Amino acid sequence: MCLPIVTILIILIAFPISQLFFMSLTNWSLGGQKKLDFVGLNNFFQIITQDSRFRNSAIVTAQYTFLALFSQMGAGILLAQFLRRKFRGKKLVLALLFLPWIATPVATASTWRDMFSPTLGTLNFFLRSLNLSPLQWISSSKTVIPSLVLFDFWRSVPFVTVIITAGYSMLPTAPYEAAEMDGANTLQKFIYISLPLLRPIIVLTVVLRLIDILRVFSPIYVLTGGGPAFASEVLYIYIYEQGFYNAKMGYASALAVILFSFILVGTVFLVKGKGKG
Amino acid sequence: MKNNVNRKRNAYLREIIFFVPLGFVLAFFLFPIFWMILNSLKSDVLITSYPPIFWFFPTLKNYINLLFDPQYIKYPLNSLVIAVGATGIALLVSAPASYVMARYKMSKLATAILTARMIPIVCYLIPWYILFSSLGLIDTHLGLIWSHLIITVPLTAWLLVGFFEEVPSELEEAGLIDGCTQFRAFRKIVLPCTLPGLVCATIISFTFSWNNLQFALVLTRSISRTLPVTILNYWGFMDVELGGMYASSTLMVIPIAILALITQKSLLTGLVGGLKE
Repeated sequence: MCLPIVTILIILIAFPISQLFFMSLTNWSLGGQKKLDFVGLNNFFQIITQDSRFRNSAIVTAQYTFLALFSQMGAGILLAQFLRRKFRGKKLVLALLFLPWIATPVATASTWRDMFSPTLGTLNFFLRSLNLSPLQWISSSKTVIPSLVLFDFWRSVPFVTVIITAGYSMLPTAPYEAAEMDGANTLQKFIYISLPLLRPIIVLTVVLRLIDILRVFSPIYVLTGGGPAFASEVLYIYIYEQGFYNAKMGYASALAVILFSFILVGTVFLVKGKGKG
Repeated sequence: MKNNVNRKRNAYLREIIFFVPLGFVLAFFLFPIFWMILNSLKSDVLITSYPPIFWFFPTLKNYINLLFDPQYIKYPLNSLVIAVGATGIALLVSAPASYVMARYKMSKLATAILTARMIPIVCYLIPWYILFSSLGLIDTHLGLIWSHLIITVPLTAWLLVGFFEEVPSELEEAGLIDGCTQFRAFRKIVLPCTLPGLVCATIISFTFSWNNLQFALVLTRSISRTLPVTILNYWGFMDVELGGMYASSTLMVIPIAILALITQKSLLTGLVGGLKE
């Protein structure tokens, strides 16, 4: 019964990925007039030594990933802890919280793009109402990355919270009862019981979030398109631009191979770390 | 007596300390979606007025403009056809396969499928664009459904393995002893037991295909263009038609939100089931 899925996976995955690796060694361009030349590792050599736009995008990706991952994991875990107690309408609250995550990113990012507007935007209206000075948000290269992180925070904290809440529901109650008997307070129970017990599920959530953050496309493409002045051009957007805007398919393939290996190394590292603990 | 009053007041205070922050959390996560829907019911003048208007007489003009435009109406229909097609094929292919993987503990194949989820979509886009161009599949429904299988097949397979592992194997063994074939036991005994899992996999797979921008952005022109591309295109003009943008965004989000709220129970259990790996 596995034959259909194996066939489909081979056609869907193995074929395009091997073609991608092959193309990363060529200078294929989309125009089609130029002959396809085999250039060996030339693309990779050029990316690492000469491409300043690649270096910029690697730094932007690192900043964005670091800020987004830590802020949403921290807030998601705290929010799950906050929602642990029983209360009326808890299921409805969790379902409503889930909306930002399942709602179409293009649609929500479009709404945020309008809300981020420095002059007429709703966010600056709230800031002015609170007597705070308005921000430039996605229009300035200084605030663009934190703004994009804010969008992904809004979108993904619910995901983390729902997963961790589900994790909480699977935990045994005995350790908590024992701790209560010994007079542990809420903070101690959280640090010494919940976090160690939740560790596997936290690691899994980090892996899922890391993969998604590294290959974020539509929110950034809708909100900034990589601008202003490449300040938010993450690696993923850069690959897309090189391949489908500048038509340098071979070069873009080499960049995609690099991004793919980043994700692979990061995931393997995290999964192996989980095994140790 | 006094003690009792004090205790009551303390309990009341504790509720306030819980529900007031909860209100702020919900407001933060739901405001952008609320704002998107509210703006879709405003005329263009009201959307761009500053300070933002919260109380007004709603109009369905934006929706009527879109839905009575024969050019426009095909975009949401395309999205629907493609999401249903990609989800249907994925379920047909991955349900038997995940059942076998769960029964015979084929963890290698399961890992291979998980890896498929890790690969950035841009890695597929480049080879497929080239292949589709030569096969004449650019801007066809078939091509887009085919490309969306890369999202839906690994996702449904990964979710379903968790559900099939829950079904005790004694159930089918009883069926096998009574003389039904393995496939019949699967169809008549196992599948009905995993109905919540199938619902969950269907909803999540549909959502991911419905929400996807990237494949349609590259692989379609106008015939099979989907709604996310249409929303993105609003931002391509100097004078953004915000009313249409907000109405399109709401049309994208509402079906997903309703589906998720109706099936919230199996959706949440499904996510937990998929996480046990």
